[in-house]
Amino acid sequence: MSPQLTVYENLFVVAKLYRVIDPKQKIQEYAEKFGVTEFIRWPTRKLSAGQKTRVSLVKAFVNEPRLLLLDEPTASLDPDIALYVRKEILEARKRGMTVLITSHNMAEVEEVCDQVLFIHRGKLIARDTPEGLASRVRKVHVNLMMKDGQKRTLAFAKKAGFRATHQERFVTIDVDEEDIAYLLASLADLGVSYKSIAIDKPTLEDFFVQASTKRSHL
Amino acid sequence: MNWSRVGAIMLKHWFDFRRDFFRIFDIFWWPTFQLFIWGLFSLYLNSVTADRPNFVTILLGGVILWTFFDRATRDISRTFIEEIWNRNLPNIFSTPLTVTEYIVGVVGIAVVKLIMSAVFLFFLARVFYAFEPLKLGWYLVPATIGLTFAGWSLSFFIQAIILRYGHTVEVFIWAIAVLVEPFSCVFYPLSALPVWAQRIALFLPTTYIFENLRRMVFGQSIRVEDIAVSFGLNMVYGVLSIWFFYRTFRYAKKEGLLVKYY
Repeated sequence: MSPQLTVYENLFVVAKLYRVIDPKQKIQEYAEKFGVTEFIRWPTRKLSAGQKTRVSLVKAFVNEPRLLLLDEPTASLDPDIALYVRKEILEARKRGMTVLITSHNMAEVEEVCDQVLFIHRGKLIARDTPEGLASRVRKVHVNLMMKDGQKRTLAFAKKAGFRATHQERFVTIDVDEEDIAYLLASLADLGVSYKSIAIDKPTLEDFFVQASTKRSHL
Repeated sequence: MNWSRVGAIMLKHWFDFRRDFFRIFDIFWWPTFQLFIWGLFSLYLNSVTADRPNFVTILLGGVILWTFFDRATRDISRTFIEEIWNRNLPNIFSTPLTVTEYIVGVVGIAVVKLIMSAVFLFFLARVFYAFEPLKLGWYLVPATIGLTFAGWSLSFFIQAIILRYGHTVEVFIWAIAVLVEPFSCVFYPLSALPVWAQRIALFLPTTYIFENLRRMVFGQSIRVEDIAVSFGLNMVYGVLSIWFFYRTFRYAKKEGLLVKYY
């Protein structure tokens, strides 16, 4: 965008290039959605990185394309604006728009995407729904808030071949889903006691880590 | 060709123009500067030379007509290079805008700027040096059109070179008119050039226009065949430069140079 032009002028030119009907109204609509209204009359050169991203999003949506390509759409955005962006992407999907997002933010991908493609070193290594990919990770995280027996717990995990990490009174053990019962029974046998237990199901991020680690070692 | 998109490009440059004082400055300052330098020099020559031709008509006629060529070489290229400086080229060409629409848009805005410069120059020349450009009569029309087209041809050639080689060659935007000027015989006849330079000059459409300007000032008839050669050369160079620009643009797009250099 031209830095000396105001945000509105830049958006107006883009709307004209796409032959948007009633460009003023469309710009107004998306400027409000992405929180651009307050600086719409500013010269574009005065915007911060986050504000520029918001303006780029207005620019991307203003012609209501059938296919929208977004590269890290919420990078450098404040959490509240990022929330609006994700909401708008979901609404756009509902309206029938195809949105292709490239992102390293797995939580965001899980929230807004119905299909995920993993590309590693230029090669497609997996394609599925976010849930489908996450379910390919067999490990679950067992999070324990320890009361007594933290050392015994860590020693048992090492001996049993489970990956365990700890921080202060919290221990996390990665196990296959079918080994949860064995783990908990063994800890009971060792006389370990804990205040609370939480079991985290695998996420897309776990799949990402697993897949990229595996491939990196190839 | 979609005229709405052509209009959008013109609108963008109108917004740019409104927001940047130095663009207005550029339209009026440099031509005025040239006019005064050569105007004062002409008056001086008139005052010290007896039995002389009217230097004001010869030199100011040359300056004013040269402005058409000079502005034509720079205006479009400058618009283009500013898009590159602002990293805006990938932005505007990721819309449905075609290269042809872009060219028509920037040429349109260049014509407007050229007219503004010319009217201002005509006004100053008349007020300060009693030079009446309209005395050139019908010759003013082919002369200005020919020089403007010659400037645009060179401009598209330079833009193609910039697309291909990036910022390092952008100095040609400002330098090209200066490089062509000595061979164009703006202020002296073709015969004043050394023989090797005359050979180069004959390949420039600008030379024929200034040669005939002097013929007109000295009361001789315009050589229509010269004007035809000038327009013929303009056509050849125009077609070649536009073809070269399109070809280089396609290459730059394919190789990702639009993003790489900028």
